[in-house]
Amino acid sequence: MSDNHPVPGAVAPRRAKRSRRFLRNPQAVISALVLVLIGGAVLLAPLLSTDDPGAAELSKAFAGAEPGHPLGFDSAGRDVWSRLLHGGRNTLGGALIALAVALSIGVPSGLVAGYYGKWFDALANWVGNFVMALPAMVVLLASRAILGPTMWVLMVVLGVLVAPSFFRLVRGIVANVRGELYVDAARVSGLRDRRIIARHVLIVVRAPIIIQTALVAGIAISLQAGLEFLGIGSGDLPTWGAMLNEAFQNVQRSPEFMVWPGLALGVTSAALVLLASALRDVLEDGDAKAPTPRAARRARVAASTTTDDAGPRASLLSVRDLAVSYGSGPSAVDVVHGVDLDVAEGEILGLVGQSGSGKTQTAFSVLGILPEGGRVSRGSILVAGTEVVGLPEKAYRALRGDVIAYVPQEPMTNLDPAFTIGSQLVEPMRLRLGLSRKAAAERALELLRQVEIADPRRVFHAYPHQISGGMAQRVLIAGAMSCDPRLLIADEPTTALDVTVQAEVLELLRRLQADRGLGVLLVTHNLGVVADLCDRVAVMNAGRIVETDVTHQVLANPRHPYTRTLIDAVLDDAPARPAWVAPRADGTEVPT
Amino acid sequence: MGPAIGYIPLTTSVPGWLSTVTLPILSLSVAAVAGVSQQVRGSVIDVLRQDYVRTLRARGLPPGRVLFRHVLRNASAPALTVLGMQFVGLLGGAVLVEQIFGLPGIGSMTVTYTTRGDTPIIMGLVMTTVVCVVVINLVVDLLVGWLNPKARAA
Repeated sequence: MSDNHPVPGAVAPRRAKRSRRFLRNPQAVISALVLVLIGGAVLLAPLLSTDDPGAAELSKAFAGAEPGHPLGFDSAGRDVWSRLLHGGRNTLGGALIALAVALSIGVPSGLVAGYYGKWFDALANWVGNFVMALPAMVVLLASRAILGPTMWVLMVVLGVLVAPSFFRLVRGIVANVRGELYVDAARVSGLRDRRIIARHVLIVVRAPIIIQTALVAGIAISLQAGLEFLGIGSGDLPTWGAMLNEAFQNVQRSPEFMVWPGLALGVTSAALVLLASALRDVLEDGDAKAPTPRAARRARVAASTTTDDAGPRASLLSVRDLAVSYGSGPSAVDVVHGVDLDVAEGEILGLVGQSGSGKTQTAFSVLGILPEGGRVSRGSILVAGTEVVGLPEKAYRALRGDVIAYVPQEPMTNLDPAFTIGSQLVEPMRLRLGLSRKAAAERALELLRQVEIADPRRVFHAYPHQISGGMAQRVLIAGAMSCDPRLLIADEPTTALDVTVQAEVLELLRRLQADRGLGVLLVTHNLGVVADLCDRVAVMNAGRIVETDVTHQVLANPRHPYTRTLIDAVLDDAPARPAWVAPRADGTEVPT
Repeated sequence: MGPAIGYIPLTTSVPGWLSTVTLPILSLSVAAVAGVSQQVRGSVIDVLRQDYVRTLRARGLPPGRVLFRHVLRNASAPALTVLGMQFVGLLGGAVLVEQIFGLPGIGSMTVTYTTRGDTPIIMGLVMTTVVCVVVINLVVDLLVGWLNPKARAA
């Protein structure tokens, strides 16, 4: 690969990384190796075995292994080793035909249907669904009755039958990509459709097609073997399925003949399926590992090394020297480095900073709900006097809901779409407060009324997708209030809402806080919200608190340069930018 | 263990019926079990990454309840869809299994009439199986709608 040319050079590392990931995945390497071995042996069949697979020598029927005939002879006295190799040619060759037919029908039609849509999409989709509803085996049997017992013709039919699986795969991905902004941009910049499909669309579908090909190859091989096993294929052609059929007829006399074709079929299909799933890991999702909450919990335990030089600790929430890191060992990355925070009862503390400054990570570590891979690596968090760093999960859970509550940022994705609003509100109250179903439902309605929802009964019975974003945020606030917490962690509670709804939700938060004497940790990047709501502010930048003080002090006399930059960025009476002036070719300028 | 092949009707003897259908059912369902469990694993991983799972944990719900009540319900719709599609493949497998275990069913009937080249009967068999597939997929769609209220609207 040439490193001098900038364009291939930019692509090369990713490709190299993929091949390295492939080589490092033992499942991928081993299954690919097995397939190469089988394919090679089958291709070299005439060299590996000199016997004619069809030559019968009746005197040798059921004879055991002898020199030159390592697997012995079958019921008709034919060499099993030779039949196995030549049979593999027909079995795998048949599967290749089916694959070729399926790919050449499924991929182009999927591309066209996904990219252009319209009538072709509707028609092709209908045909695809119809073909998928046909049981392949039964249709193959039927077409054998009509088209005659030629294995190769049946494989073409099989190819047509499995083509919809490629069609659906490609169509789905292409329709998604079609809606992406970069494809729109390519169209706007005048690229032809053919070029867009070649450059932007094919790249996305390549990996899924490779994976699907491996899976469909396995299906084609097993269906083909099944047909031959039933004695439906071309009678005299040696295939693994036909060998199984012959062995099955003599299964009482010498069952060992089932072993070789069975093994060949089993190993080939297994290698294909394993290769497909390994390829999926390598090509698609590098981090598709199952979350392991237990390991994360174990990792979260860290020594609380507290230094009390940050002043006296508040009674409700007190964070000292908090560090959050992702990963482990030398590759660990710290995202929060030594944060100190205090929230007293009845106080609203604003935690401000730009995106990526570690605000949300700090909030999540107080709640003990850091995402997979993250952990509190240092420091102390006191919640209502309880040290929660290293606290066992069960004891921690006892704090969530009735001591600390959480209001998330994005209302619509934070409600379980499969349950009604009511049941989601009732569930924690029944579990945490031990209320009866009726009492919990009444309390939930009361809460919905308190968060100023006009028709609580309708919302109670609605599903999340039936209510608006502002309503959903009110529901989430009601949920956070349901078990009478003392500390509320609100992570950008208004960012995802319309401006008018924002004001209402902030007003609601302020009222609830005042009524209940809540302590609030309000994570936000909006200084207007801070000025409006917060008693004190902590300014966060790059994982550190750079300044903490009473709100008006911070806003009026920022001490840290970063705070000044933040405030300057939103000043209302800052001078407007001068009109843009286009330079003219002769050097003079004209306002546009 | 019952007889290796053959079929005893349910009305003749219940234990006899069980002994003749156990092995065929096992051999037919083994692959489907693997496929469904793989699908469930994948969609459970996806659902565990959803925001609402974090919010449910933040409400103090026990992990078992979050997993079995909320995650599993949301994850089971795609798995059910896969199961519906596998039914077509199972019909093909049934042809083989009936042949091997000597069961009198639609599968072995298809094989018999194929070798005889009896086209009208084969057409009828294809129609019957297609109707079964359509009905099963309809049931799956209704179940998915019950599990996932959002799919009902669409």
